[in-house]
Parts: sequence; C-alpha cells; structure tokens
Amino acid sequence: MKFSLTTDKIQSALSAVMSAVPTKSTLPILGNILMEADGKLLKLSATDLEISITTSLETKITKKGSVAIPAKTFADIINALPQTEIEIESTNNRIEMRFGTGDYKISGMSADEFPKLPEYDSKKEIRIPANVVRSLIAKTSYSVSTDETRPALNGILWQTNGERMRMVATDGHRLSRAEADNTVLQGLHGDVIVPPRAFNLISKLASESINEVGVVFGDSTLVFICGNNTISTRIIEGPYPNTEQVIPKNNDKNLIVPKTLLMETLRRVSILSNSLTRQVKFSISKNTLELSATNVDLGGEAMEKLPCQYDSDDLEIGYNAQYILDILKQLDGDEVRFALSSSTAAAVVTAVDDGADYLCLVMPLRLAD
Amino acid sequence: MSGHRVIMHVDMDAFFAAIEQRNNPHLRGKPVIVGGSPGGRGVVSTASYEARKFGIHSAMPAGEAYRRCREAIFVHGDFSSYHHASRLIEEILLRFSPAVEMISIDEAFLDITGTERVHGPAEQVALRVKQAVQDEVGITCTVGIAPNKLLAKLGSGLNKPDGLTVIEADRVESMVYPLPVDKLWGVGPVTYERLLKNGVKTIGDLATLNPASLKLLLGDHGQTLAARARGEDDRHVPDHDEAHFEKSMSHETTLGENSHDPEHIHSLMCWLAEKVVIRLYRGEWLARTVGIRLRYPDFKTITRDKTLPKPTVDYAEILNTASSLVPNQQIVNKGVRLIGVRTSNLVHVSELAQMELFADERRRKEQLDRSIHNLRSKFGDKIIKHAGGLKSEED
Repeated sequence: MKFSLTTDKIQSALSAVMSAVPTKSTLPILGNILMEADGKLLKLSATDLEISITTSLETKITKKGSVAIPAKTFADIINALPQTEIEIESTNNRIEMRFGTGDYKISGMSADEFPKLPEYDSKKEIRIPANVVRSLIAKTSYSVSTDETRPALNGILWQTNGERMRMVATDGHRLSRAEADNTVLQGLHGDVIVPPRAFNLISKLASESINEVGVVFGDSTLVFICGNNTISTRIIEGPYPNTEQVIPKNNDKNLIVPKTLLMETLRRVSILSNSLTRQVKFSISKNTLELSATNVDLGGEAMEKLPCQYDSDDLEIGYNAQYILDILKQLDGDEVRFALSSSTAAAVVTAVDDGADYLCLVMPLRLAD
Repeated sequence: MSGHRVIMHVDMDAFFAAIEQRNNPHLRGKPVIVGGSPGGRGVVSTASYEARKFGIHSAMPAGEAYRRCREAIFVHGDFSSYHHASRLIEEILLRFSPAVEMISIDEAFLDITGTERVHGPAEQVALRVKQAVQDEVGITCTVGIAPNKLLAKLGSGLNKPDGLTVIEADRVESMVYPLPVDKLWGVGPVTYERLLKNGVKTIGDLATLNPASLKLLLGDHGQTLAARARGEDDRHVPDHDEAHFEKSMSHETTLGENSHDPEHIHSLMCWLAEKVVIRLYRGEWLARTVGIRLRYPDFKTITRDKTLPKPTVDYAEILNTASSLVPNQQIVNKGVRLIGVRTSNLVHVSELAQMELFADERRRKEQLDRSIHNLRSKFGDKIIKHAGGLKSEED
C-alpha cells in the first residue's frame, strides 16, 4: 500500500475515526485503525464492536493494499506534523511515513485480523434532514440512563414509523420526548433503541455544512452516512418501557416562569444545595416562586424569589436542580411552563411557545419533613 | 485504652442453620446445610452442628459437603428471617450496654465496662444474654468475656456451642498460649502453614518468638501478630450509634488453598456478596461503589472498584458489578489466596429522596425477584435462570 496526501486531510479523517477507538479493550486489535487504499479512495475505520466509523477520502494512491495501524501512536505522529505533503507506505504490516526530511516507521498488524465491519445496502439509504436529527438528539440524549442493569434505558428510543418522528430518553427520574415532522421515514421501520454515543457522533460529524444524513435500517445494526463518514451502531434490544403511560394528563396547576431568569437563579441557589441530591425547593404561591436550598456540610442556606404566573393552591416541591437545568438548556422560547399536580408527582415541563414538540417529565425529590 | 475493660463477644451458634431448624421442626437434630445445592457450584454458607460432625464447614463447595454427608438437607437461605432474628438479637444486646457493635449478622461485641452496678457481674450478664436469646429468638449462642475484643472472641471460640468462657488478663498464658496458632485472629491458612513449618504450633510459641525470627517469618506483620498472641488489643467497641456511621461494608475470605478457578472464585463471591447485602439491608444502606479485593499467592493485593450510576442494595447488581472487576485471566495464571467484596460510598435510605417515574415497574421487578427466589428454594438453583447467566455458561 502506498499513497500520499496533505497532513490536514488525514488529520481531519483521523479525528473522526478516533472516536470509535476504545480507550481500553481486552482485544488488542481494536486499538488499531484499519487503513485501506484502493482505486482513488483511502478508507480509515475503527470500531469498539458496538460502534464503527469509516471515513473515506480521495487521494493519490500508487499501490493498493490494507493494514491495521496502532491508532494512538499513529494519531500522535500525524497530529504533531506541520501542514505538509506526506507519503505513507506499508510493506509486510510495517508502516512508513515520509515527509520533508522526516522518516517514521511503526509496526502494524494484518488487516485480516481487524473485525469485519457491518455491511449495508446503499440502495436502502434514506436521507433525512440533518438539523432535525441534531435537534432531537440534543433534546433527549441528556436523559439517557447510565444504569447498566436496564440496558434498554441506555439508549434513545427512536420512533420513525408514525406521522411524527420521535426520540425519547429516560433514566427513570426524568424523561425527554422530542418530535418533528416525519415525511421520509413514515411507515418504513419500527422503533429502534440507539446508543446515545452513536447519536452524539452523528451530531459531531454532521457538521453545519451537511444538510442531510443518510440512514440504513438493518436487523441489528443501524448505519448513518454523514458526508464522508459512515457510522454503524448496534441497536439496543428492547423492549423499551411504555413511556406514554407515565406522562400525566391532568396536571392542571400551571407555573409559568421566564426561562433565563429561572436558569440563572437556579444555578446560584443550587451552589448551596446538598451535594448528593442537588435538592432545590420550589415554593410556589400566587405569582411568586421561591427557590431555596440548604447544605448542612457547608452550613449553607440560599433563597431567592422570582416573579411567575401561578394561580392555584400553594405548593412546595423539591427537584434535583441539575435535572431542571438540563431541560432549560434545551427549551426554546423565553418562557417555561411547569404543569404540576402535587409535590410527589411528575412535572410536565414545556416551552410556553411550542408545547407539543418537546416535552420533559421530571420527578420530584421527596422533601424531608 | 487504659483501665480494666470488660468486653463480651456474643456469637450465635450455626446461626443460619439454627434459624432454619427453629422455623422448621423437621430439620431439628439433622445435618442442615444453608447455601448451595448438592449438584450446584455454590458454597456452604452455614452448616448445622449435626452437619459439622461430617467435617462440613462454611465456604466448602456444596458438592464436597454432599459427598461427605449424603443425608444432609440443603436449604436455601431465608435472609429476611435471618435479618429479622439479627435485629432481635441486637435489641437484646442493647439492653445491657449502649456500646454494641454487630460485627456481622450473627456476632457482636459489647463493652460492659462499669455496668456491674446496674446489671451485676459480667458472667451473670452473659447468662442473661444467653437466656434472652434463647427465649426471644429461639436459638443458642456462645459468649466470651475478656479484657479486650481479641481475647473475648478467642474465648467464645473455645467452648461452642452454647458455651461461656471467661479469659482474665492473668490467665492468658494458661488459657490462650496452648491454643493452636491458627485460632489467632489474622493467622490465615497460608500464614498458619508457614508458622507450622517453622515449629510455631501454638499461640504461646508465637507470643514468645524472638523479634528477629518474627521479622524473618512474617515480615512487618510479625510484630502485630505477636502482640495479638500475647493477648494485646486496644480496639474499642464503638457506641451503637457511632457504629451505624460506617461508610463501607465488606466481606472477604482467605482460601484454604490457592485457587486458579474463576468459577470457584465466582461462587465464593456470591457468598460474600450475600453477606454484604444482608449487612446493607440491616443498616438500611445503599452502596454507590462496589469493589473487590484480591490477593495473589505472592501477597500482592489489588483492589478495584466501580461507582454505579445509582446507589443500590440489589444483590444481583452488586454481585455482577463485583464479578465484572475480577481479572479472570490473572486468576487462571497466578491463582488467588484471598477474595473480598466491598461496598462503599454508602447512602442511607433516608437520604434517598429522588422519586421514580416507573415505580410500578420497579415493584413488579421486586415481585419477580421474590418469585424467582421462592421457586429456587423449592426446586433448586437450576429451575430458573437469568438469561445473562445462561450466556455466560456457554462462553
């Protein structure tokens, strides 16, 4: 194998595939990048067996071939190079990099030892708007559970079958559900549960300049095509819990608060909250919201009052401040609505402007008497 | 600690088995084994005294126990029942002193120094404790009384079951020195073997060994062990409330012989995790961090731990997390002499305020766990399995 290209090109290709190289693995081969040169295309691939990324770039190839190359060492060298033309050649799994007066050699492994990457039928590729996908991912991925005992909750539920495309994530304490119009995918495929890592990679790789993301549904894998990058991911096995039944329908106590003001105040007050529970107490009375927190370890107490719209019975509810902040960060519009029923039931949090597209649930903290 | 102290060690006799025999009259007078099943890979948790006559002891593989005694009746632990009994015992002990330290589910230290004017002489207190345990819990226990924890525990070990032993400070040489050296806290099977080879057979031999030989035989640990052999120990018994502020809970066991078998280690870990979980339940603690401690035959000791996303007291989760930390390949290559399961970063139930969205689902899961447990206790381990367990068997 022999090819040459400029360092900036291989640097950007490497930065994409490095995301799939596991930091530690029992299988040494996974610490490598598969490099394949054929025709005009150079392909770099990496996998941790859950997610694989392949990135292709056109370049001048003088001899075709393939090799597995130690990812970290290779990336360290490539990223330390100045902008220049580099020639890379591999013979008997030994890789040589030549540029200017420099000559570096490292040992690789046979490409045959690299795990087989999932194949897909490019005819089945469906293209969906990248900004929609990016937005749904950002609005849900923070709620994904990290509790390995409930694997289904470790992913984002992606529902593509209906009139609306929907993503749902929950960790059992909070839930986010974001949806958008769905013209291209409707009726094509059932629900899938997708590891948030794969989705986050799409958000990262489907940069602003990319308008569409390709998707290919397989039986156990999903493939996404973002520009020159192909990301394939294992689909998490379900079933996903029935989330619709936990969304309260009769929360009729409406609290409406200016979003930015609430965010800033909550951040301040939560500095003095319990470091474990992050509990901030919402004391809600007619048109006044009082936020308070205490931290016994610090001997700290904080309280602030802010204006709000509220016209029901007084309520006191405790929340993990981080959960509320996570939601506020993703909400559009200037005002946020908390639809409440009691201090022990889930709050439905939405933007006042576009309530239907983005809904969050958050369970309270039990307030100590 | 200065002054003359009076410490009591109260140890239930074959606790789990005794509770089973108390609950089920058909088991009385028979060799009863709690934990494992004859064909399974588990280990014996507790053997009744009738079973011990056959040489069966805790941590022995269940298959081995079955070979030794074909009539043995294997029962699955009814941990809620043990837990309840342990609570009762604790309450009884607290009547006699505020300084009660439950060191495990079935044994405790009491500091009864200075209680003589209220409760009478130490031996009478011990008899009253034994009577109350018999009357209110329905099982027997053995008590050791001594000026410190070490000797009190040695004492209770001398005269089991249903015994009472007093070791006064001036009787250490006559009562303790003749005992085999492996009776001493801190002398495990490997140390014991090393001592035996060098002619140190009794606690007295160790107590009187010259410092140079000590160092040569046992390294830095030698000084400590020799002090213990002389009956010196100044650990105090914390007040009951103080003891409840423990921030970690662990159990470990030294293996009779080094094991290279990951499956054997796994079955020991099941047993250890169970003990840890029972203690967590007792104190109403949940653990955020689960870890293991593992010692190789060359005495190199490693600890590994993992912090969970949510605090838990779930047996399967604690066991699985601990198991995932075990370096199986190293076990095969090097062998293991000690394994322990540790939980830390404990959170008390009262601190756990976050409410659940899927509370109903969790309840169903708990019901499922209970049903599985019931099925297993009737028909044995193999009747029902988690699919994950099946997969690991294929591997």
